[in-house]
Amino acid sequence: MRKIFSKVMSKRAVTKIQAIVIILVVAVAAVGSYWYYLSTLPSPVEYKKTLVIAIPEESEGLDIQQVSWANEPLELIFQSYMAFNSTMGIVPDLAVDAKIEGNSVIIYLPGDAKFSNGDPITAQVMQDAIERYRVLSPYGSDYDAVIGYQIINNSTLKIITNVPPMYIWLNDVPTIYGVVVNVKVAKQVGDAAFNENPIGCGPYKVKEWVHGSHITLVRNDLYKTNLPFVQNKGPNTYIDEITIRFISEDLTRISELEAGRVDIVRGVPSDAVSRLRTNPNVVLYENIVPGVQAIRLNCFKAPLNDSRVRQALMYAVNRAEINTTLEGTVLPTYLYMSPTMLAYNASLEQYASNKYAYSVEKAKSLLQEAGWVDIDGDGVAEKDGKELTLDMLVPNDAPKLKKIGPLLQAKFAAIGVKVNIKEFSYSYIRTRERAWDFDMACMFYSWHDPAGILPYLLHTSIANRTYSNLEVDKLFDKDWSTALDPVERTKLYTQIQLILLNDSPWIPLFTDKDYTAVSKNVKGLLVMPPYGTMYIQDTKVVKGG
Amino acid sequence: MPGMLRYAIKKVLIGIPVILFVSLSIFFLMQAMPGDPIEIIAGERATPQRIEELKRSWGLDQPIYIQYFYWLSHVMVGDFGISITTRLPIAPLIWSMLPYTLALTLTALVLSYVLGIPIGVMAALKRGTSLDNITVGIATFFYSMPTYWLGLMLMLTFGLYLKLFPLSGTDSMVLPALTLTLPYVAMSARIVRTEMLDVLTEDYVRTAWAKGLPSRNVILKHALRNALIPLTVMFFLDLPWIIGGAVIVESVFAWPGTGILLYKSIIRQDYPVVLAIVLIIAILTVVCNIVGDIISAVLDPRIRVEKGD
Repeated sequence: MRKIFSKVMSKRAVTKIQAIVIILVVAVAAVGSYWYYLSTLPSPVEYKKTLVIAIPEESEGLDIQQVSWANEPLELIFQSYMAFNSTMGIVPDLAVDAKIEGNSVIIYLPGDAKFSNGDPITAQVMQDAIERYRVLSPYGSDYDAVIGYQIINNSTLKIITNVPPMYIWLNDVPTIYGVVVNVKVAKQVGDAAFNENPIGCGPYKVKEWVHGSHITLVRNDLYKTNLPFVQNKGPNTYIDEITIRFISEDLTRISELEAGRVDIVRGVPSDAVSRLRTNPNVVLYENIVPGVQAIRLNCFKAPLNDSRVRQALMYAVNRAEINTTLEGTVLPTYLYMSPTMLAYNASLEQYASNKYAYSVEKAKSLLQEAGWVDIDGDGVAEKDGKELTLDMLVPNDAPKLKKIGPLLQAKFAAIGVKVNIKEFSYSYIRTRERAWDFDMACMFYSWHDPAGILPYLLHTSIANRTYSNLEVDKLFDKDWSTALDPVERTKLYTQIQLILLNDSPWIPLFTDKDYTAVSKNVKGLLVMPPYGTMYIQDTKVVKGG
Repeated sequence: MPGMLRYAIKKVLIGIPVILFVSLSIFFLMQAMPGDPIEIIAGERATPQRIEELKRSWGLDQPIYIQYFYWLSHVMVGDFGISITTRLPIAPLIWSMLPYTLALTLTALVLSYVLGIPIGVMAALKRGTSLDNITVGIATFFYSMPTYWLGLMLMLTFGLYLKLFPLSGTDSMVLPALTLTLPYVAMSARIVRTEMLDVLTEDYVRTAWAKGLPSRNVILKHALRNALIPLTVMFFLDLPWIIGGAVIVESVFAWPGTGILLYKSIIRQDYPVVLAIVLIIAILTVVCNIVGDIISAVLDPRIRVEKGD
């Protein structure tokens, strides 16, 4: 080659070209190596400034004082005075502190607490909010025990009650229902407009609500919290905007997450849980619902007025099979309370599960004791020539109860009880219950404090007319009228449930589990009991991923 | 057209009691439905006293005829009242969702006719050929396919796997509109085909061919014009249901329309919202019937003669 070049150019020129080529090769190699080195360095993480959440149900309204149930938008718009931590302890949120003092609750706010529109939150503002709640909310009776207020200073309010204020302390102070709202603005714009665009002091505020489609929230830059379990005590500067989309169709909601158009999906249906568990791009959060799903029995109507028949039905239910049918998405229960409720006793659950372990033999023997025997061999027990036939009201709008209806029917048939399933909306079933017009009715509740729910379902003088036990009533009254410490309360509700287990006015079936599916790009999200509330103070959403 | 005008006025006058009757029927039917909306809004922890208070505050403790006349007197002045479940004014709620439904359903309806008519004509003209058989087969397939399933399949195929369109929401109307359009195209194509086959055997069409008129004239002016009459009537009968008829598609694609609002309000027994939407549908039905009759008369002179024009 050199010979060929030397024929057409001088030796010196050839040397020059050779030098240039060598320099070029070295330069390219150096640049390439540097390029490769750069590519091996971790690239700076970029974050998305918006978060998209898909939920199954549109909010009833956005003013917490006008709705009967709260969901995600309200949890982001408002801020409770106190909150529950992971062990159900009460810790400060908006308030710097709160305490019970005799027959009163004292709430201490930070001196600079402000609503999202900049209006100050004072003791008088808190009092006005409570008074508005008493008038407007379906749960206004929560504050029936309030007999007065004392404004200790501009940011400290004493709520004075005629009994120890345990009910307010446990049911309102640490929950979204007892929050402070800007009553001044509500009066200015009217309740209807305030229900569309309320003013609270939560981490986000309303930007727009497109009915049937979504709510867009923007960051409240005046937000401050005292929550001990979050690191960031101020506004989350990583997320400017949150879009909460209402997608009622389960498959669509899940597909949107899988397609990467939604970051968080609430209300994951049970049949999608196992699929999402194996999806490497999704993190699944599980929350045990505070409450149980059960069958209520009409204890004043034959044949269920005989406790032996009711107990036989308790033995007839195979709760493990229910859990299998529901793909492991529930917690089988024999009790009237669940683990994420206050005053829950785990050892009592163990006792109850032993006492009422699935047994066809025990069920049949109890029925026989009560005089119900299958004489003609048709599989249905008879007494005095009458077959043991019961109607069971099943809510067609409660998917899990609806799904296990036929299983329960088969289990009752196995002990000789013929059950006819009647499907209705849950609201209609509740109407029938109030009119005493049922044999068996599927029911569910969700509330963390037994005093805030069980008396409404089991106390003779409040709502229940199909079960009555004065001893149980007395124990409920005791909890309402005295300040019991948590250990005493647990003992009291153990006592109540022991009586209930014997009386069997319900057949507890399971405690539901709620699932939240989150894209792996979402970092730092907290999902806390008892309601699986999302805390996004420390949340960041990584771009792409 | 004074005769036609008289006819239209007569129809409008008949329509008013029809609308009142419909509103009355729905009002009483809703009351007869099992369940109680107050049970829904009261929540689990409400006491019986609180439930009674809520009933009083909503006027639901009044006799039913008083409730009806109270509602009617407000509707007369354009006030549909407040939703029981959301406590929001109903009129703005409906008007905010109506544009979404109209955009979706009108697009589907128009597209179904624009596509269905030529397909039907083509199938009729090529009767018995493989083109006709394929067309009829595809039309039957889409017509008999459940909308829910079709919607999910389109969403999963074009949204999730091929990523061509957004899966749901208001970002794109392509998939929900397609889900609504395909069965409609199939239906209108089948109707046009059947009508065209009938019309093509009529004497006047044979005469037109015999006179040597250009095919285009025979098909468009003589055959298609007559074949379209039942389709026109059907169009106007379908029109009122564009407000509440897309429930399934709106649900699958999270489309914020009045169909899903109507459905949820029925489930929640939110009487005022249901009554408002049904009343709008009733009014539209009466109006569309009148318009449909007039257009039929314009298209078919025999109808004008029957009405004494």
